[in-house]
Amino acid sequence: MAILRTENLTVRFGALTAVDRVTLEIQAGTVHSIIGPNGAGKTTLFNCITGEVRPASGRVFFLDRDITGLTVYQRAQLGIGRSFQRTNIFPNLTVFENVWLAAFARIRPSSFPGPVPRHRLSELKDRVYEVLGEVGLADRAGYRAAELSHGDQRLLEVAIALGLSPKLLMLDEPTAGLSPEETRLMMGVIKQLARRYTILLIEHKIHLVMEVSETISVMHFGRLIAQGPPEEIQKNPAVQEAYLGRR
Amino acid sequence: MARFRQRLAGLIPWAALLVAILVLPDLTRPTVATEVWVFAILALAFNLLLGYTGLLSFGQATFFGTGAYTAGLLLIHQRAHPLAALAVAALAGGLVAAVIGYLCIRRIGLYFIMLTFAFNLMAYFIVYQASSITGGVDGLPGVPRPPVDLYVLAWDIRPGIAYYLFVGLIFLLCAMTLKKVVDSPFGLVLQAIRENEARAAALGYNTAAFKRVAFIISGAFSGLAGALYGMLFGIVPIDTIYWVTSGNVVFMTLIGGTTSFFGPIVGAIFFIWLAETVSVRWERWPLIVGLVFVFVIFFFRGGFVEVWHRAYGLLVRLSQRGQPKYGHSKD
Repeated sequence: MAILRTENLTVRFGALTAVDRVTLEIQAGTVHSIIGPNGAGKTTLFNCITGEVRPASGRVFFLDRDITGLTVYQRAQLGIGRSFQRTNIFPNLTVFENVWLAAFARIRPSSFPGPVPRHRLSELKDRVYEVLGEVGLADRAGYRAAELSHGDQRLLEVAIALGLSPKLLMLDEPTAGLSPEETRLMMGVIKQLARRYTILLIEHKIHLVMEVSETISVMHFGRLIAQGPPEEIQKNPAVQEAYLGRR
Repeated sequence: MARFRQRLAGLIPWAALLVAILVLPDLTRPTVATEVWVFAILALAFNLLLGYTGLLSFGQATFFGTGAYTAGLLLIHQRAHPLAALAVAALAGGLVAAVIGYLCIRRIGLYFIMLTFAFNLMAYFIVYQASSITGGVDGLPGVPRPPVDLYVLAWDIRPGIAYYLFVGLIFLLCAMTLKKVVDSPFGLVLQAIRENEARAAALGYNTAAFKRVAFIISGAFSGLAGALYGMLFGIVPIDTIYWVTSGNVVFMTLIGGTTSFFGPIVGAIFFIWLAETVSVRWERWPLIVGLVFVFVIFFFRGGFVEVWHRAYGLLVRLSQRGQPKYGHSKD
């Protein structure tokens, strides 16, 4: 079953067509990666799926519902959770609070300022520690997020997305800017998640992509130029050309 | 045990406030002392927006004035129960804030600030023009202070000191309520919006709706403070809705410190003390306010509260001098 579907999605920034008629299907329960050279339009495609960027034309369907006109928060409430390429956290709140806010959004995103039942709060707390455990940040729960190292902030970035318990988890280059040591840690985390979540992944570390993905889509100059299982993509001449240039 | 100690530490500021409320009338005139707590309520309400939600409202006097005139008119014409007058004033403040907030929150940053300011000016001119109801530029005189009738007993709040205690009590109730609000899940979402609004939206929070609710709460408490102000002087001066009052609230809150809940209270105490004691001797007293403000902005961005934290840190460091150090200590 396709959990997410885009139809001829096109995004323009002035004269630049960042995403060009992209039609994509993400199957539930799989890891689907999007690769491509820098500037291929991968993050713009992400932003268009989550609602941060409006498409010039085309539609986005989530669980067979047309969500093209919905706002960012409405899509998040439907179950789309994402992490960002550039670390995007709540710097002056604690690590615990960062993830707590995500978990709380799942159960009550309304702006009504009433009290929350006690058992609900303890469930939330358990959920937060569960997520922090998954990414290995449980012992830093009380730190201010700004005090974490870059690598730990990247892990927190993923933890916030997990806190939402999303139906579709979108990870935008989770290993960006990580040291080899931190990259290995992050890869371990993502491999763990791959079994339990439907994941849409943007990543430059090709060996990670090849290892975890069921399907890979390749973008180049805003267009989808290839799609298929990892083995097929590796052999695809169009992909080799996009990455290595014409010989 | 750690939890118990944490609780105890949380009570210290409240104990200090209680002492301050009891001691203040011995240090100054009851009117000045009362004014301190009125403005402390206003500053706390304002800081819900600035310190917690990251919204600089430059029109807090709109709601302060709305409350003052609403309660004044009710007390004059309807001989209303003082508590009823306060409740309706809070309601009116919240209602006006709902409308103005709805319109202002569509814009962000500088445009938001200018809109709150523009609405403040509009509110001022409405009150100025409607002089048959509001008294115009002369203010609304003759606001009575009827006894607080609680069926079993009637509390006469006409004497200055009785009214002082009445206001002190209401201030404590307001402060405790607002503390509950900022410590609640709702309050944490507000802080998340302050920290990173785009991320809060990506989590599924309708950030505009949260900001609107914060605006309404802030407006309601500001209206309540306004009502207390009118009852204090027996007149609602048009200054209550003038933009300078909005500016003063920004001043006292920034001077006191926006990063802690109690900072604005300290700022209000300082500001009113300065305004009421120095102004008698030296009419250019705002110059001092300006100098203090510049000093705070340059050296203590966290306000007076940061001065306290730094002094405390210095004391700790001095007391540890000579002892072997392991690892790095945090400043």
